[in-house]
Amino acid sequence: MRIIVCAKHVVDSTEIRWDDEHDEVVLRNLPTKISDYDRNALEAAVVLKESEPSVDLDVVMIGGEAALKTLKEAVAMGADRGHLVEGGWDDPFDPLRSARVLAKAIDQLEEPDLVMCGLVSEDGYNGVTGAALAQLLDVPYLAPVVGLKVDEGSLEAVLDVGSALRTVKVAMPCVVAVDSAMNVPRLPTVLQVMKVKGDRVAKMSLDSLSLSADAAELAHAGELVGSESGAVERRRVLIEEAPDEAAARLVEYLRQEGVL
Amino acid sequence: MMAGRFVVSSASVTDLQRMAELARRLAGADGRVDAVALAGDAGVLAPEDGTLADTAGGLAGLADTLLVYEGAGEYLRGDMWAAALVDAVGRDGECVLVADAPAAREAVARTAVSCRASVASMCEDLQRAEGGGFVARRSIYGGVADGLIALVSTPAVCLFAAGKFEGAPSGESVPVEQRTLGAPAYEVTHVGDEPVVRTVDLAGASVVVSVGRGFVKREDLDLVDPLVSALGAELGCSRPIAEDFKWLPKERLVGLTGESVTAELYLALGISGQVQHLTGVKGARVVAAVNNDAKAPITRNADYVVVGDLYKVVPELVNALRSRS
Amino acid sequence: MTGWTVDIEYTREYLPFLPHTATLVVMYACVVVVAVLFVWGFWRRYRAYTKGGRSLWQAVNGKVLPWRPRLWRVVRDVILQTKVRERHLPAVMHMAIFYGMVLLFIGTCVVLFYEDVLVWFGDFEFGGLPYVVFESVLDVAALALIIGVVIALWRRLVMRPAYLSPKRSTMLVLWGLLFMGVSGLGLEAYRIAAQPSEWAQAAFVGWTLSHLLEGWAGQEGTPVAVYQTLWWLHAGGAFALIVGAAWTGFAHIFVLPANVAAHDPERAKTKLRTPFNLIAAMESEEDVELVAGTATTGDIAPPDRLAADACVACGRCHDECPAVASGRQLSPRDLVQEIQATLGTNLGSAPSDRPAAEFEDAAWSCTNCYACEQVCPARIRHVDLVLDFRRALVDQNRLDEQKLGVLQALDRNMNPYKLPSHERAAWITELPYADEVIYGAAELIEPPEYLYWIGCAAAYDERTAQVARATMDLLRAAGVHFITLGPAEPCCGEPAKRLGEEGRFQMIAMQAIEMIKETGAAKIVTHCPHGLNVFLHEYPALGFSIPAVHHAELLADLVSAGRLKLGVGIGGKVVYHEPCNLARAGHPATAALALLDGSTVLPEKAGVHTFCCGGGGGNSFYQVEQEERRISALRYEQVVATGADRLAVSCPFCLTMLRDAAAGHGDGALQVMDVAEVLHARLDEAPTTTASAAVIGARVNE
Repeated sequence: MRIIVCAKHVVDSTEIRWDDEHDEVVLRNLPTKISDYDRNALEAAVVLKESEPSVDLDVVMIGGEAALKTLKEAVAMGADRGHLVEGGWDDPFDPLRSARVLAKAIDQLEEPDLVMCGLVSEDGYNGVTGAALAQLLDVPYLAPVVGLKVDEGSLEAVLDVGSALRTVKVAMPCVVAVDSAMNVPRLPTVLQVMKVKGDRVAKMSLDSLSLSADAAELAHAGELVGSESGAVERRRVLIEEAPDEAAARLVEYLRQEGVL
Repeated sequence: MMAGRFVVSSASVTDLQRMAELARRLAGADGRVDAVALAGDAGVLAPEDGTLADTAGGLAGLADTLLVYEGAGEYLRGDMWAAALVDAVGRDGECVLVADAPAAREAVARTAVSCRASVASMCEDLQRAEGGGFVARRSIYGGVADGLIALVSTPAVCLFAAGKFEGAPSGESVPVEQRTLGAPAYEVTHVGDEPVVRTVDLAGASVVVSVGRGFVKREDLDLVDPLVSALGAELGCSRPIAEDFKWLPKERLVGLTGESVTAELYLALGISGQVQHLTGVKGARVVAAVNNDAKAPITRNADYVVVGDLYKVVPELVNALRSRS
Repeated sequence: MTGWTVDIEYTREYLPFLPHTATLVVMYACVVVVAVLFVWGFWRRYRAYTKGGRSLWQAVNGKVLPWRPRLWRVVRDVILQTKVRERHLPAVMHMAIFYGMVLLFIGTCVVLFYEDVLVWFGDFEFGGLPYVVFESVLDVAALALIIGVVIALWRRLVMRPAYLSPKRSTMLVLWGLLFMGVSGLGLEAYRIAAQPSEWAQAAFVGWTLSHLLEGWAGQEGTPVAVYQTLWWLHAGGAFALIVGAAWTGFAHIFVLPANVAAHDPERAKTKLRTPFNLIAAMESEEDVELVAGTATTGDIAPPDRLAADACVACGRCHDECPAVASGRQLSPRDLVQEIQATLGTNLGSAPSDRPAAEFEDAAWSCTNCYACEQVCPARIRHVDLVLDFRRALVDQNRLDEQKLGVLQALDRNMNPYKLPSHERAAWITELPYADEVIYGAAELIEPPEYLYWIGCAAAYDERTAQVARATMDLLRAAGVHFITLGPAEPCCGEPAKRLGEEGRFQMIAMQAIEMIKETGAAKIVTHCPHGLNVFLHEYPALGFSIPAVHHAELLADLVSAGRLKLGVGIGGKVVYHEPCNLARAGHPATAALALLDGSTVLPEKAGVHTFCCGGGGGNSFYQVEQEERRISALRYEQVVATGADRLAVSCPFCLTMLRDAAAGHGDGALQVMDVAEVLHARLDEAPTTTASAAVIGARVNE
């Protein structure tokens, strides 16, 4: 069985901050990593591979030179090889573009039985790429997956639909989006990442995917055009009164905040 | 303002009303708002919490038509939903508004691909852009900033966060138009559903009351029970309570070694605010605290801090909440 | 001079009451067999240590052994029984057996040498005064042996302390030794009774006992048969014990000294091993096989196998271990014994290969406090074994969410608290003298004397930040020229190292080392003993050495040099809890005690025997599910027992852990403060906040 995991190279969301001085989100010089939910997808794929050694597991990632280290981390989690689509920044606010590039890249590779990705990406939180990819590949899409079982060409998945855990079965190929509740992704050690040699990661240029710079697939349909601080500075209002008055005042404040 | 045709859809009536209201605002008097509902084997699937009559009535004054797609199957599926939306958009649909729900993202994504649309997710607001198209407002990078997303291609497909409809419908029920969905594009076998009963859900609770080492004895925790029920809150705690004294199970631990909350209100009682704890509180919208030491770190990390003895303040809080409601 | 010696005409017949030639033939035939079995037994052991073709010698730290300190340690540990003597009753027990056995063994050899070797070279007779002394000494030795063995049996059968779980082989050896002592004296008593002589009183025990046998001993028939039987049983017992010394746990009489000799006295107690060097590996042309940890017990390195084999299950580590006290799934004694069992060195145990996963609970229950290593008479380094299992578990991706989260946070945010790096030490920029103490902001006329390392705890935890503020105030008041890395400071890497992610530790350390070098500071001062340990002992292994001191040490120097104007302070009775990373790493409490006010007191477990707060070895960052009591609560009770009013600590982890423990005691709880905060409260004048770098520089130049 062949599995392709689409892992996104993102700026570490825990390090992103708002710069009051320059009135902008600080993204430069920040550590980058595999998007968290994609790590869940990778973990799920590696678990499948561990139970069935014949599974062939590839990782596909879009990004620049900096993404190579991230791709190696993804491979170090237990994939057979990684493919870096040199497509520049994987824009968190244009998931359709990501899906189109990924679909082209997957077309170039040996046909997969299963394509896996995270439910959302750590930077965009759109939850669109995987389903768009399924539409482009014209296959079923299952999400949010919290359980997986592969059985002779068909896939049984448990979906967390809020009120229930829904078990469904589809014929492969298909795309599944893994929820973070499914597993705790492993963290490759520095040593394991070091041991991923160059021959296990390959680069694909956009040209090789027949995506020239002005290709329709690459045109931005959605774009971040402005931003402002979303920070909630705590108010630090001190209430120093007698208990009954203080309690009443606090309730009053909370009422004003609309949280009661 | 240019007129256009808007398609709105949702898994709940209140979200559908919200989408329709927004679409109506953007479409203007000349524009058109078509609401999409899906009906399947077991009745109406989207919105699932109302009959067709309810929905048509609820959209009074907000939408122009309620398009009902029959044959949506056993449960609400993203691909079937997308098929309905694509059909509803037709050739002249300008914008699609959908509120978040399970399967909604698949519906939105498939619709966007099929219609060669532009898409924005997690939208909080939508405006027309000056040179045409739309601009969506959304929170970006985990709330670090609010971003404006330009939707260049037409139609624009927007997924909104789930929410509540604040307005009220007026006038007569909208006319219902029946349509039929074709066979599903993909065969998905439904094996079964297992209902989920969640006991402690700190991460998803909208109000969390947390207790810390300001409580001297285990029995004293009883003091917060009425407060927890008055607020409809989930009970959390700081590390010493769960790990040192083991007064509460670990699943109630908020902080570095426990859960991170996303509550609207986080009320910290007798918690000094060690860094390990504050890590889990970052996601709360409003943080209130009762603590006897105004210099404790929690003060700098809370919106409202009652400086005082929690043994006296907590019962008063319960009184204040009860007298107001 | 030797005139009076000739007056003593005392000797004894060799092999009395036995057919001389036949006895010798049978005895030496047995000796040959015993020698073969003995050599075979140790050959097996050697093979077990070097399994997998790895050399024992190369692996003894892979360097030329400094033989003097090693020899000295063997002399102290083995001949002088220094480690054994740390506990009273076991000291009497073991020294009595040890010296008794050694003397008796030498005695037997002397007799054999005289009678069976020298006899071929002329008429040498073992007699006269030397023989009289010899007889007395051997009787003392036999008595000592019996007393020692009786104590040992008494402890195992009657006292039965929890830490001492009797092993069958140990019991067999003890009964055997008891038999040897008693039968030896019995034979002697028979001989004296049968062949009375003027000087026989020299063998005072045998002589006393001989009165019981007077008139019976020496007669033909039953008495001689009894004697001969007992003699052969005695000889057989001796042979069995010699064979046992190669095939059972009794082998410790050789293996333990070997391990003491292999023990590297130059490696600090708190220094972990450096299993590989990333930079060296990356720069190396060859493909270096980098291995992390012991995936199975079969991967345990030869010196550690030797160490495990040296364990006699004396249980001192078990008795001292905070994890044991808290009811966790770890006993250092059992851990080593289980590893020993996998070696298959002892009769009845087959070699086996157990996966690291079987030691998972034990490995994560350890707080790396080194209490076990401190008391181990065999100088076993238990923490090395624990760390190698941790490294393997990390490598096998067997970490739970908490530990994964810490490692991930170190990678992403450069701190173990999962907080963004841009929020690091934000408080320092708000200090009135921020511009003078943050590297980059401060104008440096000359390189600073000290880099004050804030550490992740003080950078992110508001309570610990107060310690850092107090320390900086004090350093400024004393005119010490120092700088900090401020919000740019990285993690020192300690949590990664202790959690077994060596690669990540080295990546972090390399970054930290670059930044330290850049400041040009001559020395490092820090209030965190964990950081201190890393600077002093771990960074040098990565090629970077810098003098580093604990803040208490520097502050104590400043106090004694009169550079701080001090008042009386708060007073009362202060108890000082020593952190493991100082107390057991050669940093005595004296420095910290010099900073305290009022009357100071130490808890019962103090100095090198201090008791862990429960926060070491990464334990601050994850939860150990299986425990009955928190380690911090146990320690808190110990310090409260001193009747002190306040508790002084000198480590951010101790501060957090013991404050948490104190919190459960309501109003009566001890106030927990860092020693620097106690000293800060004694400052007579407010520290200057306007002193410029130039002024500070001038003061230093004076």
